[in-house]
Amino acid sequence: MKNKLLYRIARIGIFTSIALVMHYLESLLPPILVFAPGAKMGLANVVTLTALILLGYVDTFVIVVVRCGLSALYSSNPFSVVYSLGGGLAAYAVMALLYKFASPKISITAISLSGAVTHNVVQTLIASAIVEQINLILMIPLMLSASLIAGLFIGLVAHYIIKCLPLSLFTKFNTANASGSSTYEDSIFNDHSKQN
Amino acid sequence: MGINIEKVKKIRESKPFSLWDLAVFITIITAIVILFVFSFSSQKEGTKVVVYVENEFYGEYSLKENTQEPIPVYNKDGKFLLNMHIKDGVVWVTDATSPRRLCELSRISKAPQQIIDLPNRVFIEIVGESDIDYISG
Repeated sequence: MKNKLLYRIARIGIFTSIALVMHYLESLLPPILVFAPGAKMGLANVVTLTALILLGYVDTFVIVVVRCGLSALYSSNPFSVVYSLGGGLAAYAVMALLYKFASPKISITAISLSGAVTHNVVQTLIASAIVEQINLILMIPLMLSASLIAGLFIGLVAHYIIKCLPLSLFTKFNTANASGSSTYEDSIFNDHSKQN
Repeated sequence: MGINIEKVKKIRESKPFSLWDLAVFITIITAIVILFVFSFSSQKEGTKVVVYVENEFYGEYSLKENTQEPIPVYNKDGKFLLNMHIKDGVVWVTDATSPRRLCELSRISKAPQQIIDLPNRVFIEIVGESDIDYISG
């Protein structure tokens, strides 16, 4: 039981650090989508989406919150926490709901697209609240077009990551499906604990 | 808690796009088109440039003036934030002190377009004729 928890924490840690590095790398890049200032590729969204499918809802929530909190540390702007957390959590919520209720029907690409759109719209709304200017919502169509491109790209990347990562990494110590497919994993788990 | 392995296996076997994605694509593209039409139809000739710093009114400039020298914008503590240029009815920003300097990408010429420097909380907006009439009348 203790090993299971440690394994989970380690996985969350690895995913969070990948997300943080992606987030940081992205901030070093010149703005790619020039027509919509402030719109980003959302490379960290690859991690959120992959984690949502391979680690589950709770772990992904932790990853998103920690990533947004930590990424605000190196931006030195007090508002960027609100900005980053708002967009991140809204996108997480939409993607989690779509994955839960519509997933085998709609593809990962479409889920990513919906997440990107939510992320950019919510961030524009937060920005407009921060500067107290409602006219800023006129930027939403530009933001939406940017997230259309970014969301497609991120969705395809996430799709192929999920396809290519070995599933055994995630089925081992999986907390769900305890009755069904757990016999094999349990045997590994028990053998492992006997050796210690 | 945990993951749904059956679902993951299905996803791994599926293609990157499915037929149902069309519903998502069509919704988003329709929204983009409607919002673009709406925002373009609300555009009109501007007359003035209004600048807000940290949610407070900073200054008002005529869009017709051609600035030889850039207009510097400071915050309340006197910290330099950015230089604003107005030339031939076009407004843009240089020398911003925000980390990524995204605000330097925008060029605006019509009301109610805007330039925003979020880290410095500078908001620059072009205001049209009718808005001013409305305020003064």
